[in-house]
Amino acid sequence: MNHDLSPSTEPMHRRTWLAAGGTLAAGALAAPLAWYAGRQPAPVFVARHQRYDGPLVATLRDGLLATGFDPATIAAKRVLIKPNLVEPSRLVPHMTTHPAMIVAAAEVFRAWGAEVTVGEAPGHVRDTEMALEESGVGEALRDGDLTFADLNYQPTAWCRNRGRRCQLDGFHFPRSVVEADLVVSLPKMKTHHWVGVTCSMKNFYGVLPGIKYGWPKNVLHHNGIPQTVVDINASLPSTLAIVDGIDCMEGDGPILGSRKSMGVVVVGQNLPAVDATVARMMGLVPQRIEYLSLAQGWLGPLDDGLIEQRGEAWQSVASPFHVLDEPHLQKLRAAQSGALFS
Amino acid sequence: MSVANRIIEALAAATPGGYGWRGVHYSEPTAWAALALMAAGEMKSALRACYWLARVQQPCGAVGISSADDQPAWPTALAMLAWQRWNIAADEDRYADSIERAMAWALSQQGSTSPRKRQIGHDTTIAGWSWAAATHSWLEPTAMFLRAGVELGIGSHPRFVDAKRLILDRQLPAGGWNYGNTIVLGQELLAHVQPTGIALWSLAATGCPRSEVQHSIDYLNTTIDERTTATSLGFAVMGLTAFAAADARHQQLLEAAVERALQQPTSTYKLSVLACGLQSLSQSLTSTPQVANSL
Repeated sequence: MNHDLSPSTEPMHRRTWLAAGGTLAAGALAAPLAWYAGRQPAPVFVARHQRYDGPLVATLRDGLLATGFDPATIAAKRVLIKPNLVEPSRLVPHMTTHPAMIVAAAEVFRAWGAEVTVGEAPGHVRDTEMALEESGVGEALRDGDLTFADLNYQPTAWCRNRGRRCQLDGFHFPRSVVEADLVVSLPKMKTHHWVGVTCSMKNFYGVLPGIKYGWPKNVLHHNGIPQTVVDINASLPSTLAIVDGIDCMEGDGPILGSRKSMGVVVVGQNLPAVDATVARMMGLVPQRIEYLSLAQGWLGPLDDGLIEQRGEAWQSVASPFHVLDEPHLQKLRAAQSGALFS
Repeated sequence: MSVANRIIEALAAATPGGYGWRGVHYSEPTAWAALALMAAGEMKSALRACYWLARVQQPCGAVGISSADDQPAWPTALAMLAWQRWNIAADEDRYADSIERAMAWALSQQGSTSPRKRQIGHDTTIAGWSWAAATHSWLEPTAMFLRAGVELGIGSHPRFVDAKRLILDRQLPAGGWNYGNTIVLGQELLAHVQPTGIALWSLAATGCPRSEVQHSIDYLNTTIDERTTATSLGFAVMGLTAFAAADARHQQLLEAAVERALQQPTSTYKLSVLACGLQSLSQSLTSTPQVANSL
């Protein structure tokens, strides 16, 4: 691991420069926009009774295979794993992706021959080394001999906004993102006090560098959170999602909510489908979450009938999350009676 | 060779530099390096940093984040500080024009404001400086520009008066600062070490009474320990020494952090922040608060 947690400085690969020219080259795998063309149902895998000290490698491998992932497509390719380390604190471990999930995901992709990097641009803290130490991820990466890319400070390449739901013409993606053949969103399953849910799609705010977008990434806020979430997802190379739903956050997420134990892991190659499934588990209506609504039928399906459940049925693990007693959040709830949180 | 001398030697060799231990040169690390090198009397290396910053300055006066990237330009504040201190230390006006253009640009920039909302605890009507153009004012860029304005002798300008007001308004009720939010939807947010150090370092230059920030000083003193990472620790010590609140324990922590940094390839950014912290502490423990505050 690079203990300096700083960008390495090798020249960008050719593909980066292609991207810098305005056309993000397609990775070896299908890009998110491909879903629109096919309209095929999107498989989502749910595993229950999961623990951080359990056989997570087997769970993730099973989940990826169950959702149709072909390991041969990433042999000798670059995989970037992007956890959620937005504002880590030892006092709130359920805020951030658990280190065991990151290491397990890395082990799966490495075993399939991929070159794995873990990367993050923490949204609320400039000291990335602090973010790694507070979250416990730094120690896990050292133990696992994993490379970390500090996306807040890497050289960037400008990539065209392929979504155009917001006014931004493009995004400055860090080198590790542009050069990745597959970017894996590895979020924590949490409520979010502005947009309702933060999961695999919203987690990709953390691929944009603070040095360009600020701490917080206020350029995105000013261009609309739902719109920029969708546009970032539409503009990235190929992606998939692995959700840490073991110890989750409810109430005043994404920073100060309460811990909620769910014991689930969710896996899928279509991020809107994954997030819609997670929202249902949380007792929220995916179509009422604005960024999911914007993605519906274009980046992926939200309708339960268009999502093929693999592993456990989401209904068997659903457990409504507390949400703040605010009108913009209460309207997201599937059941309008029951516990509030304020 | 002492720890202080060794880190200055390493920093001189790494200036100008960046956030990585090699590669692209960035403005913020180079500016902090200039400040640390000047404080150590390494004027030749400091001049190299100041010259590099002047070279990347744009015709409008702004200094972008790197030699390859002219937007955003929040490092302009730190470039002004470096040039101003050079002019004072060398008793010359080599960078007077650069400073004048940079300050004109800085005063033309303003973070966006909005009417107050019940969900947000801080006063959204106060204008400071933003990270990127046309966005809200946040803590660290406002603190950097405030410090520059005060050192350039225009701290009474309404923009800097507002900047000081903004920083105090963003102080968390329990003490400390984070990126610049205090209370959201009724819940007080978490403090962080690095922004707290930078806010104290900036406010001290304005003559802010210690009583107004005592609970933030207390926050730092109770939070930082051997687990505190390098740049957070460096900025924390700069903030504490600016209010004459650092002691031998901080020196031990900082020297240990420097030793760790020197044992591996380390970025100019980390070296420079550690060096600034170490030098401010050294001055603080051997002289008056006013002298220590000079870093």
